[in-house]
Amino acid sequence: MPEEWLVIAMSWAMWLIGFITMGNALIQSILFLRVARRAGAKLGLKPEVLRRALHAAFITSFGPCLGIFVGMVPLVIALGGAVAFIRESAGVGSIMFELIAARSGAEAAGVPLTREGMTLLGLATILWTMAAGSVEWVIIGGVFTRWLPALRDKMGGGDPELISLISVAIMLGAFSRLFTTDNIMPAIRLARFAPLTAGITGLVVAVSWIKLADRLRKPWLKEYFMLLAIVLGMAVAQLLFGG
Amino acid sequence: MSKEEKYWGMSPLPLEEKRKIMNTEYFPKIHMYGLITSLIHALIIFLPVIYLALVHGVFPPWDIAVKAFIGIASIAGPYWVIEPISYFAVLGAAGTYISFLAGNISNMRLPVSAVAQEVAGVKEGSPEGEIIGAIGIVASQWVLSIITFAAALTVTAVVEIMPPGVKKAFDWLLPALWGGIYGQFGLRNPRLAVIALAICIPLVYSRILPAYLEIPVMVFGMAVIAIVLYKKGIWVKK
Repeated sequence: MPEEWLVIAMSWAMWLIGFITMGNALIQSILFLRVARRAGAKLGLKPEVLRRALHAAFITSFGPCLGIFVGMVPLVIALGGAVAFIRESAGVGSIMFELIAARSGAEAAGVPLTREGMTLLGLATILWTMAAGSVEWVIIGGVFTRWLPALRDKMGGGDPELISLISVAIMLGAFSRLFTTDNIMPAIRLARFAPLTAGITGLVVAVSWIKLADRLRKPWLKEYFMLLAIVLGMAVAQLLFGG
Repeated sequence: MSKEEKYWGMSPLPLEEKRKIMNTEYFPKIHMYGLITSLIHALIIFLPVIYLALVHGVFPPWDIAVKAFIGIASIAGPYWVIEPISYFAVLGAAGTYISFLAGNISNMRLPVSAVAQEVAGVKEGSPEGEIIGAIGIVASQWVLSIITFAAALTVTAVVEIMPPGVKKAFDWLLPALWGGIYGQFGLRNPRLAVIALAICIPLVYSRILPAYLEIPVMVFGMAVIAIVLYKKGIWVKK
């Protein structure tokens, strides 16, 4: 007989909450798609452009989603499928955030983050921590986003060339930090070379593939570059340094 | 490949007209839907807590609830404000609403938005870029919904039958993704890519800043560097 907390965590009511959470995100995305399509048509975007973008997005999201799939294992093992579904389909947090929140909640309630030893109070505290720790993103994003376009245009002074350059610089700024922390630092500090190998492979694959697509004048080939970069990066790192 | 060919997806309309369309037909609706769905979501997020409290009569005593909240707020707190501002320029308005309602930003939303814009041949930060980025992030939300539901039902069984080498390889998924996206944007501006790493490696190595400030410092630092180089006409045609 499973324990009370697990029965509740896996109850139909919790799955229903999962569908409500996912549903709201889906409704939002469908509303946005309609607005974007209409505005795109008014702007004179070719249907081909929209189709390619959609196609590329499906292929590109597949890689990261597989990562999320595998990353959900500890969450499913600890708290059951329904909680993991509620939190990951549209619960703001990355897997990393959810695990930190779960740990923080479990610690405050004085229970371990495992099926053995978990209690109903522990579950309630964990769910509270996950919700209270992530609702701020939803509120801040939801309320303040309307003022952000003006901020960007102000930075670029209305010059489209400069706005485009700033967007590229911002991406390089953000991802240089992620590349440094996750790929370069393990090599420098711990002599662990697998992450750096994965990163360099991913970088070389992405650059070569994009250049090849440009040279062949086949832009649709680019749809696959991120998936390829991820798969080959993982494979090369695992084969050389995976152990 | 010429610049015209690379940006084959851009609309021939004059910029002023495009901005007018965006400001009358696009942004008002996106902001309205974005605000409403976000506020509804702020309630939905608490449904599991409400359900446990009302139906099963369980809610942590306030001292425990506050302790747990402080635990997560001290780690996540800075990101609540920093992330929407830092990533907006790339995610666009619709992309920002989805991203901060449903998460997974650096590992999925940013790459998807960037790749969609690259494939569709539109410029980042342009009206076309906003629309294409939005469509890309919408698609990513659909894939995420399906995969997380599948994962909730099957993940433990599927992972059990994976060979250990394949399972382990997923540890390198994010490093490979960071490399791929750095390559994509490095191609757009190789010099800025070198500058960013040359600043970032010593910055992270020296631990001079708390970790949560490293991304905003790099994001705004690179934006300022780009503006200065552009205004002075260094490396880029003004």
